[in-house]
Amino acid sequence: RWRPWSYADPLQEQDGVERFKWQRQDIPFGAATSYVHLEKLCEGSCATVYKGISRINGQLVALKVIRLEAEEGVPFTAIREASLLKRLKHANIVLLHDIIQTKETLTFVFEYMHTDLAQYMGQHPGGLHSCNVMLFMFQLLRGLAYIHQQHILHRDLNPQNLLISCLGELKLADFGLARAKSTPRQTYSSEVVALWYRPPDVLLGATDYSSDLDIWSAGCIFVEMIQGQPVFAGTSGTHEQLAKIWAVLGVPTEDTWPGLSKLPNYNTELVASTRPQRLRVICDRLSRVPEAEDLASRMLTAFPRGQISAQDALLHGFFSPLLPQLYQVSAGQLVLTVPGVRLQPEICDLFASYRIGHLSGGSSKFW
Amino acid sequence: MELEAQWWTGQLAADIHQALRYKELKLPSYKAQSPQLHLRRYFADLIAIVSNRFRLCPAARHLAVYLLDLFMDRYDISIQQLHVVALSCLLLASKFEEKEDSVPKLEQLNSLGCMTNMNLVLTKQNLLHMELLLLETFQWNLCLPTAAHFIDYYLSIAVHETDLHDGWPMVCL
Repeated sequence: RWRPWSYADPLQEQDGVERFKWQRQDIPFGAATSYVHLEKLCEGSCATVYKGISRINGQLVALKVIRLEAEEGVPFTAIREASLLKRLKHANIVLLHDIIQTKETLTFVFEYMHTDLAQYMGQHPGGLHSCNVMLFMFQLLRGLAYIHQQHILHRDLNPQNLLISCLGELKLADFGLARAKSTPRQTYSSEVVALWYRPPDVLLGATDYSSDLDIWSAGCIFVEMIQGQPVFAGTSGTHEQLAKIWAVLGVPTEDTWPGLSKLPNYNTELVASTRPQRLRVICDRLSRVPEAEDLASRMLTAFPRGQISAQDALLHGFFSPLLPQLYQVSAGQLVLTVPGVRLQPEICDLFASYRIGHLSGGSSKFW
Repeated sequence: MELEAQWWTGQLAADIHQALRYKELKLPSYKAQSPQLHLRRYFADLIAIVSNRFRLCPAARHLAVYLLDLFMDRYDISIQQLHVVALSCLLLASKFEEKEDSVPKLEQLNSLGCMTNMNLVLTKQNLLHMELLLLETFQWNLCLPTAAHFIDYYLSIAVHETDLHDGWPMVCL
C-alpha cells in the first residue's frame, strides 16, 4: 500500500544511491515485521520506546509503541503528534519515518538519536562548554523559528524533549502537547511544560498562549546549559515556582504588565515589592560568556509581549562567534554539515579517566 | 464555547489568517461523488445534534462534517457503517480541536437519546478501527481549515461592537 509519509525525506536524496542498495523491495513500510526490536529505552504511562533496526534500510530507529487497550480510540496526543510532525520537515525536528498499526498498539517509527539534553547535562555536570551551548542553542532556536513560522507551538520544551546525536545534532521531539497556533481557542489544562520551564503567565493561569511560551522554556534551558543547574527549580508547586521567578525579575504590577490582575491565579499577596535583579546574581556563570546574560534576559521576560522571537534570537550577538555560513544552511540540512562546526569535548570528559556519568540516575532515554 | 483566547483580535491575527488561507489552498479535493450522497444531509445533522449535546466548538463540528464528506467521497459505505463513520469523524475532530476534557466519552455518547432510539452503540473496537482507517485516509493530517476556523476573524472585521447583542451579532453561527 502507498504510504506517502513513509518515503525518505526528499531533501536527503543525495543518499539515493546508498539507500537503493539497502532497499529491499519485499519489505514494506507500515508493517510491524519491517522493524526488529532491540532494547527497551524508556517506559511512559501510555507508551514504551524501544531501540530498533529497520529491515527496510538497515537504519537504527526509535519505536514508540502506544498502547491502545485502555484508550477510547486513538489517544489525542498521538493524533496531534503525528498530524503536526508529518508536515514538519526540518533538520532540527525529529523525523517521523513510519506509522504501524496492530490490533492493540500503534507504533511511531522515529529516527534514532543517541541521547537527550537532560542526560547530556547529567553526564557533564557543572555547565557545558560555551561552544557547545552555542551550538545546541542555535539548533534549538532554528527548530523553534521553523515551527513558529508554521504556526505551531511546542508547549512542552524541556531538556528531555531535546534529542542529541553523538555528533551534536539537536532535534525537537515529543510533540504530544503541541498544537497548531491557528486554532488556539481550545486550550487544555495548564499542565503544559514541566513546572521549571513554565512561563509566569501560564503559571498565573493564562490560556491564550503564544510563541512566547516556547521562548521562555528555551531561555530556561539556555541558562541551565551554562550554569549546570535549572534556573527556576521550584519544589512545591505553582506558588513557589512563581516566587522563584519574581525573586529575579521583580514582582510585576498592573503598570508593568497590563491585565495582570485579571489572570485566574493572580494573588494579591504577591504584591510585596521586589526589585528586579540581574540574572547573573543567581547564575554566576552567565557573566563569563559574552552576551549570554543579555540573550537570556531577553528570553526570560515576564510580560509576554516583550520577548524576543526565535528568529531574532538567532541573530543575537551571543551567536556572533559562530561561522556566518551557519545562517545559510537550508531547512533540511544540519548545521553540523558546515565544515569546522562540531561538538567540543566537555571539560569533565577531558579530565575523567573514569566516567562521572550516570549521576542522573533512573532509566535512560536514548532516542 | 470559550471566548477568552480571541486570536482574531490579537497581534498575530493577520498572520494566522494568512497561514489558514495557505493551508486552505492545499486542501484535498472534494468531488461530491459518494454513492451515498443523498444520505449526507442526515449524517451532517447527526453530527450537529451530537456536537451540540456535548457543547463542542464550531471548529470541531465543521471539521467532523468535512472529514465525513471527504471519506464518503472515497468509499462506498453501507448505511449502518455510515453511523460509525460519522460518529468517529466527530470524535476524531474533537480530539484534534477541543481541549482534552471536552472530548465526548463513549459511555456518554452511547446513552444519548438519539443513539438509544436507533439502537446505536459505538464500541471501543469499532471506534478504534474506524479512527485508524480515517487517519490513514487523511494521511494523519487533520490540520484542515473550515469555514468555522475563519468566521471569528471575519466577524471581528465585519461586525462592529455596537452591533452585538449579548456578545453576539443578531445572525450568529
